Amino acid sequence: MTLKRIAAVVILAAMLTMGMMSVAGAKTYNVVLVLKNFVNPVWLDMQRGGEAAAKELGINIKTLAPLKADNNEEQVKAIEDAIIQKVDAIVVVPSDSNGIIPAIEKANKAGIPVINVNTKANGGKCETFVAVENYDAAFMVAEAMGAKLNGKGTVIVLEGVPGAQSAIDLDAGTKAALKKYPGIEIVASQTAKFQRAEAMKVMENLLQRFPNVSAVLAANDEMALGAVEAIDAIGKTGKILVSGLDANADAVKAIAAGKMTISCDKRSYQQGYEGVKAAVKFLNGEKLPARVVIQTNVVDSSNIANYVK
Amino acid sequence: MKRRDIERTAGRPRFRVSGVLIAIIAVVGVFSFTAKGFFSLANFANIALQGSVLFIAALGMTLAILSGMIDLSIGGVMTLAGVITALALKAGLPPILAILAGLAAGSLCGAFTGYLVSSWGFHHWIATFGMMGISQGIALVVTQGSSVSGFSRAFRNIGDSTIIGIPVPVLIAAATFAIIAFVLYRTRFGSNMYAIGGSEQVARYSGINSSKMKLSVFVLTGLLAAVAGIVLTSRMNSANPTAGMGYEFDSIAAVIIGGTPITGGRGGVKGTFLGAFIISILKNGLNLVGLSSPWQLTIIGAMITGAIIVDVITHSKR
Repeated sequence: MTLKRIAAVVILAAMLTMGMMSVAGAKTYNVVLVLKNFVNPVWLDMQRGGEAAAKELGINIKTLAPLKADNNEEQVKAIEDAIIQKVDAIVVVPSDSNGIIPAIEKANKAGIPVINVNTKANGGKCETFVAVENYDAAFMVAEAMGAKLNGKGTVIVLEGVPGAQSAIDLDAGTKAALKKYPGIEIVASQTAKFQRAEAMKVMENLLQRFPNVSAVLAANDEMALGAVEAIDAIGKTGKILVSGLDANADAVKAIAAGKMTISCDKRSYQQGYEGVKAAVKFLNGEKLPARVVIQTNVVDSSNIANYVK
Repeated sequence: MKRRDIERTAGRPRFRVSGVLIAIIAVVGVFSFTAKGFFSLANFANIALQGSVLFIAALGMTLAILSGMIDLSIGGVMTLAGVITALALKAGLPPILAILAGLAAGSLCGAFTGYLVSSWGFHHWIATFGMMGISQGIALVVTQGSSVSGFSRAFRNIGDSTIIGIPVPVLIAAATFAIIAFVLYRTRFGSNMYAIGGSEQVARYSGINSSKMKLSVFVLTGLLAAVAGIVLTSRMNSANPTAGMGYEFDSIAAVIIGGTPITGGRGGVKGTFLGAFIISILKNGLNLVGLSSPWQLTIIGAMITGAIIVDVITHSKR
């Protein structure tokens, strides 16, 4: 009986102390990370990155994403719910750059800082924008391709959707890098709208005119893979080098098989990680730059082993 | 005739919503203890705001289902009405006219489906499935796949202002509910809906013009979908070309959970209120707890199954 009583007192005392400690201890930040969906591996990587940062920095994180993939209304609701809970910061990857604005404005009004990641929000006040620089990524890939060609030869450039900001930046990066190699001549530069099938068609036609081209530089992996198909059809695999960007699963396989030469890892994990880290920095009173640029990695035969799953 | 059959043909609505009410109390109880910030006035206003668009759309779905039909085009029509209103606003039309254009678009979609069903004898499934594609497709074509955004304060007030502390979308949902409930429970037109849902043949023998009824029901579901789409457009300050996608299934869920069986003839909008309410509470509560969206899908699916089981049990005992 007395033993039980002593035990009870000890447990009660322990609970009280713990309770007091948690009150007295430093406040743990609560951060909500809102993604586009939970089906595309890109966002799952981003979630892992965000959660890793949260663990490292000792904060609480909650990751939410629409049930209906890329649904703007559900993203808005997730942010409204976060505001109700008075979270300390919101990190968001908008599905709809315009549709997300009312939610960001609500957070602004509630005094909750918002960090924008990956896809730009076109309004509301975000403390910083964490994303890759498409221009730089394309520049790095084209530079690497130039080096592989020893600075000479003829190349074909495959561009993205005409008018899209990402396509404009990627194309400018590619061409700026190629200017560094006076021995390389761009014999054709056409759009294939970021699509694999379209790229295959465009390349089939271009290969009729330029069968001895040295390399193809595509603005994303899907187009690069289309070019790979067209090149394969005329039996020139390995003779015509192909580059893309994104390091998607098929491209990784193609590089491992020697059908493709270069791609670029846009590091979704790192984007999530840096987004959450930026939120905590802001909460700790640090000043954030307007833009946090995620460095990208060139993927080729030398490091492909790290990407093959 | 058994009592149940008499009820069906006579079209007397019966309210059997206690099961959902108990579920709502249980869900509120659980979230109050597990989700920080759930049990607060601010959050209840938030839940009502978030659920209002679904509720308006589900009111239309209730009419279709209790008349023995289904309207799969609700999501597409919502999107199209929102997009048309948005484009009209962008073209410089005053908000009133832009809203009327959106409402007209929704009603026209409904009228077209209704015409196919009532005059051509199309199965409602096929006709509304076709309209789902048509409306969604047109919305994508006219917006070229990107959202139309940035409206005047006057139009935005519909979605994000409050009157005596109540969000305007909630007031719109309440007014719509009042009108539909009156029509359904207090007019001949309303009881005729139950009649054709119970048995179209019996209804016809008793002198009800069932094809005219069907046409009217689809015009109403189209109109209500348009109201939902316009409120959503204002609330998001943008018309996303896929904004309504999936709303047809969310509405069906609200109706079924609310106790209107998919076979029609019974139930009503009071149950749908509870059905839409519990879905909104669940989505909100799970967000607050931080359970990811696949769980929401699972739980809402289980609730639909539960509602059907309850319906079967309570109706086989009689």
